Amino acid sequence: MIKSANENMDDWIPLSTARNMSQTEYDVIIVGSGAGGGAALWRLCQQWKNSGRRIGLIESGPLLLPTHGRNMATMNEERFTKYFENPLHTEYIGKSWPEYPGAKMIKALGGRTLQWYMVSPRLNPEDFHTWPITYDELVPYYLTAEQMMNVTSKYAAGSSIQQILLERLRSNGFPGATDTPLAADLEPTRFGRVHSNVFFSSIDFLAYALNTRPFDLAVRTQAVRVLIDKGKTAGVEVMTPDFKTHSIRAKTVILSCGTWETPRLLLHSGIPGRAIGHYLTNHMKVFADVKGARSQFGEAAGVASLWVPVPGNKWGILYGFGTSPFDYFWYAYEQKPLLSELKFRMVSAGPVEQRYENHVFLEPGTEDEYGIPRLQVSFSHSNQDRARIPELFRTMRAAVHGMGLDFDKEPWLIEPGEDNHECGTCRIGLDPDTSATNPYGQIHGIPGLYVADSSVIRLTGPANPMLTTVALALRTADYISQTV
Amino acid sequence: MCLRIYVAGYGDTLRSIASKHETDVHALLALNSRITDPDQWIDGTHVRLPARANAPRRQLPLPLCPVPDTEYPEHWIPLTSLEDMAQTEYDVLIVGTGAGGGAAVWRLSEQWGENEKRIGVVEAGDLVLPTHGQNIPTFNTARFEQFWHNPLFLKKIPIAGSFSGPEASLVDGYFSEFIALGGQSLIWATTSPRMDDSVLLHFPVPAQEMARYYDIAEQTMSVNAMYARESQLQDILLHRLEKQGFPDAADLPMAVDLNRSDYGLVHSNVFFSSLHFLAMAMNRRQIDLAVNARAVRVEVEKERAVGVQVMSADKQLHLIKAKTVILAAGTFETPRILLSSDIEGRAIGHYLVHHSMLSAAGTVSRKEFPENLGVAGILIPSANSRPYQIKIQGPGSYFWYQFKEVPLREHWDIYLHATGQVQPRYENRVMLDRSKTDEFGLPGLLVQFSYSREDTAVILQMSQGIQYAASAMKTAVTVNGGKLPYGFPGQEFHSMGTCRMGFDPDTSGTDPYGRVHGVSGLYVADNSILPASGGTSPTLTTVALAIRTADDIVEKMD
Ligand SMILES: Cc1cc2nc3c(=O)[nH]c(=O)nc-3n(C[C@H](O)[C@H](O)[C@H](O)COP(=O)(O)OP(=O)(O)OC[C@H]3O[C@@H](n4cnc5c(N)ncnc54)[C@H](O)[C@@H]3O)c2cc1C
Ligand SMILES: Cc1cc2nc3c(=O)[nH]c(=O)nc-3n(C[C@H](O)[C@H](O)[C@H](O)COP(=O)(O)OP(=O)(O)OC[C@H]3O[C@@H](n4cnc5c(N)ncnc54)[C@H](O)[C@@H]3O)c2cc1C
Repeated sequence: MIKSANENMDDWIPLSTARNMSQTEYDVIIVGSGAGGGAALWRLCQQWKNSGRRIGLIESGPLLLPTHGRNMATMNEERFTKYFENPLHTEYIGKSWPEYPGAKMIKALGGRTLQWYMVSPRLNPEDFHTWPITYDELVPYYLTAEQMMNVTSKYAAGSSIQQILLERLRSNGFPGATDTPLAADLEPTRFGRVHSNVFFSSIDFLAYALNTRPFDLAVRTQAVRVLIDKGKTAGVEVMTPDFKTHSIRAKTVILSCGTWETPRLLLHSGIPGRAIGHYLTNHMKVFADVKGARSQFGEAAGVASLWVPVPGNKWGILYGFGTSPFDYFWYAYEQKPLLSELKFRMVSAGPVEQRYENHVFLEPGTEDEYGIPRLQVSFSHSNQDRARIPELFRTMRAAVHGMGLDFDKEPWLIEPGEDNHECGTCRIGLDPDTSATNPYGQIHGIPGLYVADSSVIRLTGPANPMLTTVALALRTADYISQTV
Repeated sequence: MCLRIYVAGYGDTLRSIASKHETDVHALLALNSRITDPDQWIDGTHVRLPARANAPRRQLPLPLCPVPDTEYPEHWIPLTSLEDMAQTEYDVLIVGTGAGGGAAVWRLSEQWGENEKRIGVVEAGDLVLPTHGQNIPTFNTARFEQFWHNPLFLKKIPIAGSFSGPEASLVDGYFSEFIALGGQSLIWATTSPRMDDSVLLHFPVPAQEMARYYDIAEQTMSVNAMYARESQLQDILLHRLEKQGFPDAADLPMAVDLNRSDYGLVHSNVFFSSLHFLAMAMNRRQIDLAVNARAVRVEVEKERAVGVQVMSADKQLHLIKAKTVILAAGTFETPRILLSSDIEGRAIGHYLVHHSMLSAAGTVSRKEFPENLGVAGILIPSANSRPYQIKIQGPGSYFWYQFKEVPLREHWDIYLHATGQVQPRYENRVMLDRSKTDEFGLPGLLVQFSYSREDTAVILQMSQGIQYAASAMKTAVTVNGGKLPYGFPGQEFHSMGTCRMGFDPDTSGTDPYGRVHGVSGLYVADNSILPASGGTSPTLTTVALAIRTADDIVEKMD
């Protein structure tokens, strides 16, 4: 019906190669295609829609899934979990980190957004008092990020479980209990606009970018060194699985490799900066599995997606999913039986203190197959952290009690890394002594070298980090498009 | 009996220790008076535990990082190796996972639930796409077409000799097949009308039964006519068509899930593919599925199918034993397997039917339409008096789109696409071409095909029909060199008939339930069983019949 094309595509996204990309001089090269890289790419494509500027993206991982795993017809909760647990797809880097044992990494186009849980709150305005930018400055970017990611508080709309649990929380000490903001496109398909990707992933950013203007993409291409020439950014050196090295030239480089790989690349490239790799933060999280009888809820049970601010405690949050914990939180192509008991997963969380001592460093003698030393992590809890942990437990108990539910499994504190919220190793700030990047994400003192990923985030509040990561990446891209 | 000491580990509190050791938190508080807060984090502290009762305590598993385990799936769908499948005797083995094969797998799973029956599936293709291509965020129309025209998946089957078109030009014709898990359903246009009564008359299936299975097929494939409903473009074009001689023009029936996601029920796969059938089946029961597994021969003993010889990517043959075999390898590959198995049957490979095809593009002026343009999806159905269907879609390439804004344009293209009836004739056939071998060392395929006088007459009618419809809609049709672009045989993807259903083995490959004449336990469930189609898109009917075939198998085996 529509003219058949004469050029073939082997994959579900147009690909270039490291070799081809080394023939071009780019205006901007982005390294990494997770939350930060995807957001920066889309925004640059949008801002430079009608310009001839050259944009390139390189990603060390392969094409794994073309959408969030939970959008796939053949996945259910069990298959989804096992698929990502496969060491082929997830690298358990924490296995060699005694102080950070839960860390893991997904190397693939889309990064960890192929698997994330989509919880997308903003940081609170008061969380910004130690930031070099104000909450108000970030608001327009939060709004754009929320719009692009389809952040909604309607995931549990109409569910009687949700209504009843929220009512109970509100009248039992948690007056602010509300719906979790989730990055989920719930819209029905109408008028040709297709809504086939309910759960957001950074592949959606890549799709928007593709439909806006051309850019070059190479996968299985690992950045191994940032190239600096006379104090200015000159490009990146990359390696492909056949161990060939290519130099890709660009005056502006955006590193979006995540909290672990971005500082590793910077340290290995000899980029100076006292704070690079330091101020590693995360969320301390107390988990609990709770249960309650089905009979207390109405016919339209649906799901629970609870977001529970803790009165008098701005640094903590409590959130919960249900039912069972995820089997029925999302499902498709399946009949849902009537259960007599419903289960929920509750999380009580708050950030660790931001401290210089918590940091990553290169460990000589542990070179990977590309000859780059592996990271080691030094991480401990401060007295403030230790004092907060009992509060996380207490909040959990009070909320579960307030909801009239019982523990199916007693609350437990998860290990560092299992929270998946590591941030801060290239945090933004004004002072090069205590921050790796300036308020726009540029490495202090190196024109053209930017960071746009979770490593720039000052995790000063309980909010899950991805929305803020995306918002900051958009802001960095805007800054680059205006100044380059 | 004496006190025990426990060194608190990471994250331990008195309360978590109490629960780990199945003791009471108050007892622990009493024994450890220095600790006052049961929720205090006390890693490194020596905690006194009460004396152990005589029976050893159950060891609770500690939360550990998952350890590498071969049970982790590598792919987005669970797969079984042919080596493993060769160790099992299946109750039913299905060959091919397109529309027909998928439907049969789903229906068997649905009917059998979690019983002890074993279902196996072998698929020649690879994991190419995990859902219909139009659900994939990074595709738009152009990229999607570039992808599926790739000869890696889209294979050509040559037509013998050159084909003379109505303009007396000579073209090398070919038919196409799409080899992949999910088959052509990964790329089909989801148009899903029922066949009209004048065509169903030629089916050896009672009309009532056909209607019942159409209902089931439509429900599982979420066929509906809502895609363009209430859009202004649709309303206005439909109205014009109805006034100007096309009273039966209607909303296009499509296999699309348009629903909003709510209550945790996610609708992430708008466009239907047979992978939905596989997903539903797998969520119901165990299915052993092997990909890159090409069936080459059905083993028959004493006129009973006993298994299938399957070739892996490294060209190893495996015998997969089965009590019942369903061939669903499509219009070309199913007869190829039968012919390679020396299964006699005068009609096998013959009566190849497809649709002749014409398309044109008309334009509408944006000014004639109000603010909410929307999309148009219209079907002028095939009927007794009209041996072709016309599908109308637009605007431009925005019939489906995502992650993009639709620009405001002065003019929009509207596409008209007609598919016409071709007579089932013995001479039109697919056969083994032993002069050629494919990459597996198997004989090649060759098609013999020509249009009859009647077929050519339908093409002319169709050409007029398109122009009438275009002028009814007030869309100027762009005509190249005064003639409508003419589709040579094989250009339309609707091929069928090579194992057509019927009563008489002389003129049909399979019986009214899809059983291959003369061999028990051997069924066909794909487009090849369709005895006729008029001008109607075939897939909904294939699915309905595959479901019916599965029901027949369940009835026979229980
Ligand atoms: C199971 C799970 C659930 C989560 N749930 C939530 C949630 O509900 N809410 C929330 O806010 N956050 C959640 N997160 C965290 C969230 O996914 C991350 O914060 C976010 O993805 C970080 O984005 P990023 O761009 O920093 O890194 P990533 O998304 O990890 O992307 C980094 C990319 O860089 C690539 N890369 C790395 N090194 C190189 C190199 N040298 N060269 C080229 N490419 C390279 C990687 O392959 C990867 O694609 C979750 C994470 C997990 C794992
Ligand atoms: C672009 C396009 C648009 C279309 N649009 C429509 C439409 O709108 N409406 C409509 O009704 N129809 C449409 N069709 C046709 C529709 O897709 C087919 O009618 C339908 O998929 C046929 O189903 P099937 O089961 O007969 O075969 P297929 O879908 O072709 O499946 C056959 C399967 O068998 C596998 N296979 C082949 N040989 C072997 C072997 N030896 N061993 C194991 N496995 C094997 C193949 O890999 C494939 O998975 C369209 C087709 C295309 C290509």
